[in-house]
Amino acid sequence: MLAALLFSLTQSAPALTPLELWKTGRRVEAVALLEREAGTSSEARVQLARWELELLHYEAALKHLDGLGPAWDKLRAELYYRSHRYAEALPRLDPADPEHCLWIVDALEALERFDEADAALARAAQLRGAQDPAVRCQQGRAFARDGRWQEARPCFEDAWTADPLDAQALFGLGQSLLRCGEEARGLELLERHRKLLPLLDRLQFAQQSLALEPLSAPNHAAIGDVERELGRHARAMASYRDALALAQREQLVPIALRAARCLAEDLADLAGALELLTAAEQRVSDVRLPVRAGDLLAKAGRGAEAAAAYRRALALRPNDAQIQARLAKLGGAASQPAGGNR
Amino acid sequence: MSAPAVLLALLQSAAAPPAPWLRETTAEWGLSFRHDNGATSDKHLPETMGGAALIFDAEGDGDQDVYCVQSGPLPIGALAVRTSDLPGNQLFVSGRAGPTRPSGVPLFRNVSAGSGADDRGYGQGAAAGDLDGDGLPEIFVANLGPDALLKNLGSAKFEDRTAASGISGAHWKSAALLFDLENDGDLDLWVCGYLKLDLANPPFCGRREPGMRMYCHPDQYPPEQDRVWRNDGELRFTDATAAVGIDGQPGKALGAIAGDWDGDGDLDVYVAHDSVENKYWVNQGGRFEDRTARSGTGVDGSGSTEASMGTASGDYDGDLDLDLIVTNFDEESDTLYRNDGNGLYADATLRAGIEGPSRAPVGFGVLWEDFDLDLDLDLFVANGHIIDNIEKYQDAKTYRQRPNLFEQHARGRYRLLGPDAFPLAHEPLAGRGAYSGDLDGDGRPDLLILQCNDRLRALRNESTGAALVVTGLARGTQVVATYASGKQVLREATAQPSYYGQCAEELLLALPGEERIKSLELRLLGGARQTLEFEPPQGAARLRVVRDAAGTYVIVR
Repeated sequence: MLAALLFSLTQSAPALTPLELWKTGRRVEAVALLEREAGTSSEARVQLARWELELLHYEAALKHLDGLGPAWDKLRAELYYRSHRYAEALPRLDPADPEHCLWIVDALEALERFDEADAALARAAQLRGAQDPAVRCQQGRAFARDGRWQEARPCFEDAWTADPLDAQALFGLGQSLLRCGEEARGLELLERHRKLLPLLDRLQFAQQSLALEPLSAPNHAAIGDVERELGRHARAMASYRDALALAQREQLVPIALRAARCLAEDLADLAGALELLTAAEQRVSDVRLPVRAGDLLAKAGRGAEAAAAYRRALALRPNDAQIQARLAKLGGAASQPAGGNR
Repeated sequence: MSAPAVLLALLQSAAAPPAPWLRETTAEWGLSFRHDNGATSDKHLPETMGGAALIFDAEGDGDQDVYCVQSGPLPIGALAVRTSDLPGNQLFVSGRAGPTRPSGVPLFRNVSAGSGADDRGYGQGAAAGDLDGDGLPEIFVANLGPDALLKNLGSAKFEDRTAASGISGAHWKSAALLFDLENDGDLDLWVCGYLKLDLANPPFCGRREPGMRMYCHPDQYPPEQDRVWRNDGELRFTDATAAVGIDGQPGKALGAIAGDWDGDGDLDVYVAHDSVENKYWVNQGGRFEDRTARSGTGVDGSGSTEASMGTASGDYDGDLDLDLIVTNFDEESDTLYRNDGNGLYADATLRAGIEGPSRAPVGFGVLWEDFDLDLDLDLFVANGHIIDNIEKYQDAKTYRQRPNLFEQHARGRYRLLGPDAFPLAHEPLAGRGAYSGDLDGDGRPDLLILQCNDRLRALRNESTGAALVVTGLARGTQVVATYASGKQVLREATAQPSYYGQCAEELLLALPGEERIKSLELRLLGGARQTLEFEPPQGAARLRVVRDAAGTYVIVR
């Protein structure tokens, strides 16, 4: 009986491929299916190792690579590095790889091989460029490690100038300034760093949540919220749009309202905000959407269109005093016909 | 010596295993405590924290007793009323001061039943100290729920005086710290607040498949406020949180430690926070100023916040000022803050050699202790993950993790010791608190390791060194010992909290080889200095001091 039920279930929906499962966020199932279907081919094993790496299953990933030869040492190196097995990682890390060359520095430092770390950092500077922000920041840290704050300072300054949201560079610069006698500016930067950190921590937490549930609209929206607070409005909107595309009915409205605010207030894109609210109104009937559209239009002096939006809101909640008050406030504009695009 | 003789000597020295520093004596000593975290399938975060242990002289008879804080079933529904059938905290008194123990009789006796010390709250941290000036230490227990203030009646008997004390609050407290806030000679209380929690509605975290639910990240919960309780005498306390300037700044505190790090004669406080910036509070006449940003101790050297747990303070690099170390979550490393003077600290973790070995484990209890009595501070860290199914999410990680004992092999430089020196070096534990103290009275620091939902482990110090043990100094007093060789050592008379609990308050000054102490300079709270006159001991010795009417320390034995 159960077997028949299972058979009918498998027949009723087309089976997903491992890649499709992976893309829809069913990543553990994707690994299991790929392992069952094609576990012995080299190609499949490398794919499995890559997926296990993303799932933080480093031991499993290393097992998938067993016997596959040195061609995959670069991948092995990353797995050893992320497992803190630095002695095993070092011979496999690729000094010609822009990311690996910095991991080499870090691994050597963790093993207390400081002179080698300094030499590796010099090689990284050659590879990535002497003004590369990551290199400059790492150089700053190396100087700071040895108490050479005067030399650390310009390194951190360069890195921070390149990216004002680089918390490591900002903190290093603040500390360097304090130790170089520039107390007031040092403290100012350290206080700035202090305000920045909670946002970066929230962003990291949101990104980790998204990695666990990549199809969760609130997870995308949470990233959008932090990016907006960080002032990276284009990134915020990209996350909000992903969130809106994935949002279930009950999730849609708050995300749409925040996204519209970002467009209208941060990016001065009123048309985009109104378009977004309209699209949301077409998906879900919620009084907050036309009210927000009305508010934006009223603020822009487009009274007739605002009135039309408020009337749509009143249609959803006829006796709402707040909406009626908004409409009344528009005065004569409320009686004019709405024109143009919303 | 001829070349073959040198070679032979080298071979012999290479073949001889190093003498063990520590030997497990849990059963031998009768310390049969097992922590119970009351774990349920709901994955309430308090289940992960572990309890605490205190090493202190409960009876005032000159030897060190042990108090263990139990948790038990979570205070949900009917269990919010903590009845006597629930597991309670346990008091083990030492028999060292009594008549010579017959062979086979454990060093410690469990006297919990009827002692009044067996509080039944869902225990978290604890602290002990003489709060009413009668010479006997009281116990304060921080609970998930109402706390307990236990008055020491003598003879290992205690009485619950919480209701009359003025101390209140049923929220989630973690660690507790007793320190002299205003240099008025009594101990005040700092209680760490952790997270705001709704036990009736635990959030779901992790995957939905069976066995995959996991404990939630602290970011899921709002932070709790620390509270400072001013000692008004006769075991009455006033909430001074606002008066001392720390109100309105909730964190996610798991530990607080006091020390005169700026050398101005009063006790500053450093608070370890989980996942948010740690706090460095500088005492300015009984009010605290937040100097976190300037000090550099709120984050690690890369400017990142860490999930901090245990703390220790000590002069690890021998430059006669106090440094700080804090243990952290995995992928973060523990962080050593070297005191560079002028209120500035540098992250010296890498240079000290503890960065690499501490990145993978989750660090909890931490001790700077001179285990081999060679005049420098070694380092011990108890490790253990909080997520009991972590290996299902990250297969290179484990719930139980090896503890790390580091030897200081060069000034300010550490190396990890193996099982030859430390028998538990390869034994994964659910490590939480770690506490040191001379439990068997031989003048050498022994070690307790508290585990979450598992048994307490005790290790006797088997090193061959000797020490001068000084007791009776007020907490926060710094002692600079000058040795005949000219070497100087700074030690602090304090009860180090490690994680959640308290180490013995006695101060150990090693006497390696032919070294003799020439003089002891006391740096007192308030700023005064005193040279303690005494006859330098010719080997292990104990020195008990008291203050006379003028506030000067005198030796009583």
